[in-house]
Amino acid sequence: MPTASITLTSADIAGDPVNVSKTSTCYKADSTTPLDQTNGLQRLVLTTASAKEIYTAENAATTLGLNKNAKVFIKNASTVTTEYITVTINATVIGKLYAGQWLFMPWSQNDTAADIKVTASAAGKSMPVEHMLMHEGYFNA
Amino acid sequence: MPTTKAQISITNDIASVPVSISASFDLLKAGSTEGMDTMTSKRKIYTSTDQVDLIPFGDAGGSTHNFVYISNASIISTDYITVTQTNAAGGSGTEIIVEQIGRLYAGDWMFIPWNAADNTQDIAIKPSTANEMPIEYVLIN
Repeated sequence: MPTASITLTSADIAGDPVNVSKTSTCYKADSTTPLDQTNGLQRLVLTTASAKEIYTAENAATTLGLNKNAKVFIKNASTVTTEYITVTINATVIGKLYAGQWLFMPWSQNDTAADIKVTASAAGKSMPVEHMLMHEGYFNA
Repeated sequence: MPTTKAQISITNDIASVPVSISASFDLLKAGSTEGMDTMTSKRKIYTSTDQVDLIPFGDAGGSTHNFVYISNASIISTDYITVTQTNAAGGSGTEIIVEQIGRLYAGDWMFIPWNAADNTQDIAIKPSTANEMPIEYVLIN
């Protein structure tokens, strides 16, 4: 079964040590059946500051992924501290991932424009981005 | 400055050739080598299907580079929350959904960067049921 685990640790951000640890199995929506499809780990290199679509939302004619469960992992694999990518869904900024940072989030594909895009902080760089999708239905599966 | 580490492990055994991902990074301020030094964590039990602000943008204290961990601690597999970015300036009453990110079912978690640039970027949730649903989150910036 596909699983995802996170650990957040800090010895000194608070007066006492912080340790948050969680493991979840990636199930289909409303189910205890594991996700059974994946667009495996991919790597691309951003060399312009244009938005690059990495996952395309459903088109209006299908509802393959609409409000189904999908899990997205994105990592900025750059090693240059000041380089970041901006992650958007339907042009709405979620946040920035600086070098080495990653995210893991659900993706509902709830409208036809809910594409996930990444944009490099500057052109003329070679900014590697790694990403993976686990899902139960996806337009570009 | 504090050191806070986020580590993820994903086992994707959906395909016949499994993929395992392990990645970690220190939570640093934007473009900096200085560690994030502010943390808020909460656990709250929701008993309504109303959409509510989980983390208003003001909680970020002006920071536009934050990380948010959200966990649905329910144990009822079909119970979920829908996580959205909402616009607090959109009028009175329930805030307008700017973009839906996805659903977190019981036991699911997410970890994302959060821009929190203005009041169009509140993080809101909507429980799927009025059953008691414990939600936990950590905001670090």
